Amino acid sequence: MSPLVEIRDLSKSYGELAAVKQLNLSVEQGDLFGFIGPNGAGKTSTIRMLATLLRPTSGDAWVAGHSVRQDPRGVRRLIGYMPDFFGVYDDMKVWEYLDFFAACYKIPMSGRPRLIGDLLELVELDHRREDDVDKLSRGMKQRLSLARTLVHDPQVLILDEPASGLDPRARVEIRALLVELSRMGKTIFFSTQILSDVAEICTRIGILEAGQIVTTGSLEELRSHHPSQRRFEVILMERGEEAIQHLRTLKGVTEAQLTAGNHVPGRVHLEFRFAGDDRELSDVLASLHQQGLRVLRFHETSRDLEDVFLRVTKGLVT
Amino acid sequence: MVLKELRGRMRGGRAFVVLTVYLIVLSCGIGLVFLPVTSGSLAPGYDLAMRQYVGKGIFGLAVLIQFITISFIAPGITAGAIASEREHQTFDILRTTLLTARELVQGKLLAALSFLLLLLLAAFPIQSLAFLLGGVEKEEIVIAALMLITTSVALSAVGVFFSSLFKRTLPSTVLAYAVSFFTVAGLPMLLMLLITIASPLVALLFMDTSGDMSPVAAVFLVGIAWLLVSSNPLIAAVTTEAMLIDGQSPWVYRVPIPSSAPFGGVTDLPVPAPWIAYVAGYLLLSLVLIWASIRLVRRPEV
Repeated sequence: MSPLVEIRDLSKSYGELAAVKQLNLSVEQGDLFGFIGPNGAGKTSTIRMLATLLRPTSGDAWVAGHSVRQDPRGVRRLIGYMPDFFGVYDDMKVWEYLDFFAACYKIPMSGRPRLIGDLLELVELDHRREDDVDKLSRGMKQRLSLARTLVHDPQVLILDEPASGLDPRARVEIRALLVELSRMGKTIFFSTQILSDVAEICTRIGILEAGQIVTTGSLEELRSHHPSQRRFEVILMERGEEAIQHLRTLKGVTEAQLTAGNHVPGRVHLEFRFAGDDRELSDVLASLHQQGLRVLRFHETSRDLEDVFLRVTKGLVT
Repeated sequence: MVLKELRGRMRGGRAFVVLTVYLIVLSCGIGLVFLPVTSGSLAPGYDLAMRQYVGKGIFGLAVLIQFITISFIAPGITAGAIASEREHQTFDILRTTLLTARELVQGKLLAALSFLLLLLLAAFPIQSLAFLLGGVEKEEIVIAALMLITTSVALSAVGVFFSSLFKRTLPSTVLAYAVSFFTVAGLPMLLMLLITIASPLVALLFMDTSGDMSPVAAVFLVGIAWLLVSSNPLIAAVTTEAMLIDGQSPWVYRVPIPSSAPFGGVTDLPVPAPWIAYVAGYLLLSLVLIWASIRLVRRPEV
C-alpha cells in the first residue's frame, strides 16, 4: 500500500538560505506522525509546502496521490491545516466560525447545523456555541481551530505546533483530542517541540535538523536504531541508599542516584541509567526483590526520546 | 464570504453610527436648500421655474453628498479587506480551503458594495424631496445612479487591489485614499493647471496668426479635453448636467469645431457624453484592478 503522505526530494530555499534540503518522508494511513526538530530546522517550511501554501524550490510532495505542485486544490480537499499561530475572526460567534469555514469547503447549508453540533461536541465546546470567539480561552480557541480543520472530514490533518503556548490542562486536552482523532481514522502529521507529547501519543516520529530528516520510525525503532542509556525510575518504600549501592553493582546499570523530591515518608525515589538488554533489565528488578527491597514502582521515564533526539541532532540550524 | 463580511460589518455600532451621521449630514444639507420653499419665500407665488430650480439643486446636493460619502468610505472599508486577513493570520487558513482567489476577492468586493448600496438607498427618501418640487428628469436620476454605482465599484476595486498588494492594512489604506483623493480632487486641480499652462502653448502650437485653429488640431484638443473631463466623476457629472440643461441628448455631445472641419461640412463633432466615458472607463479600470487583485491573492508564496 502506498503511503498517504509522501515527500520526495523536497527542498525549499529562501535566497541563499536552504530551509529544507532534499527531504524524503512518508506517512502511512492512520499514522499519528510527530515531526520534531529544533527551532529553524525547517518544520514549518515543510508543513507549509505540504499545506500548499509555499511553493517548493524543488522536489514534490503527494497527499493520497495528489501533488502539492500539480494539484494543490486536490490536496486541499484532503487535508485539514492548522497553523502554528492562532487565526480566528474575533467578531464571530463560535458556531458562525465553523459555519463560515464549512461554506468555504462548499458544504451545503442544510448539512451544516448538524455538522457544527457534532464538531463542537467532539471538541467539547458545545456549551460555548453562542459565545463570541474572542471570549474563548487560548486552549478553547485551539480546540475550535482543530474543529475547523475537520469541517470537510479530511483524511489528513496537518498541524503546526498545535500545543504551542498552551497551559498544561489545554495541552492535555489537545493531546487527548489528537489521540481520539487518530482512533477515528484520521492520519495526523504534526510538528511540535514537546518531546513528551510525541513520545506519549505518536505512532511514528521524524526528527528534522537543518532541513534534513535525521531519523524516522516508531519510538521503539528509534530506540533500537539509536541505542542509548535508558533511564528508569524506581520508587521504594525505604532503604534508598542501600538500593543505590546495590544497583551500582548490577550488570548494565551505569549510574544510579536518588532523585530530588524525596520528602514523602515511606517513598524513596531513585533513578538509574541502564545500557543492557531487556533480559538484563528484568534481572535488575528481580535482584531488587531478592535484596528484600520493597518496590512500589519500576518504570522507564519518557526522556528516552530526549536521549535519542540529543543523540541524533547536533544543534545545527539552517 | 459576503455573509461573513456583512455580519462583521453590521454587528456592533460602527455601521449604525456611519449611517446615522451620513443621513444627518444629508438631511441638514437638503434642509438648508429646502427651507426657503417651506418658509414662504417661494411658497405663495407658485413660481414653477424657481421650484424646479430648487428641486434640481436638492437633487444635485444629495448626489454630491452621496458622492463625497462614497469617496470617504469605499477605500476605508476595502483597503483592509485582504490585508486584514493577513494581519489576523487567517489568510493562510482561507488559502487552504476550497475558496478560490476569485471568490475571496469577489466576496470582499460585494460585501463592501452592499454596504455602499445601503448608504445610497438610505438617502433615497430624503433625496426624493426633490421630486416633490420637480425639475429633475428621469435621465438625470439614472445617470446619477450609474455614476454613483460606478464610483463605488471603482473606489472599492482600488481598495481591494491595494489590500491584495500589501501585507499590512496601513500602506494599503494610505494608498487607497491617495488614489481616491487624486481621482476626486486631484484630477480637477490637474485639469485646471493643465488648462492654465497649456492655453498659451496651444495658441502657439495650433493657431495661426489670424487666431484660427486647424480642424485636425481642434479634434485633437477636443479629444484630450474630453478624456480629462471624463476622467473625473464630478466634472463628468457637471458637464453632463450642463449638456442636459442645454437640451442636448444624454448620449452624444456635439462639440462645435471650426467650420472647415473635414467631416463633410459638419461643424459639430459628436462625442459620447462624458458620463458614458466615465462609467465605461472606470468600470473597465475596475475590472482590471479586480483581475490584478485575484492574481495577487492567488500568487503562491515563494
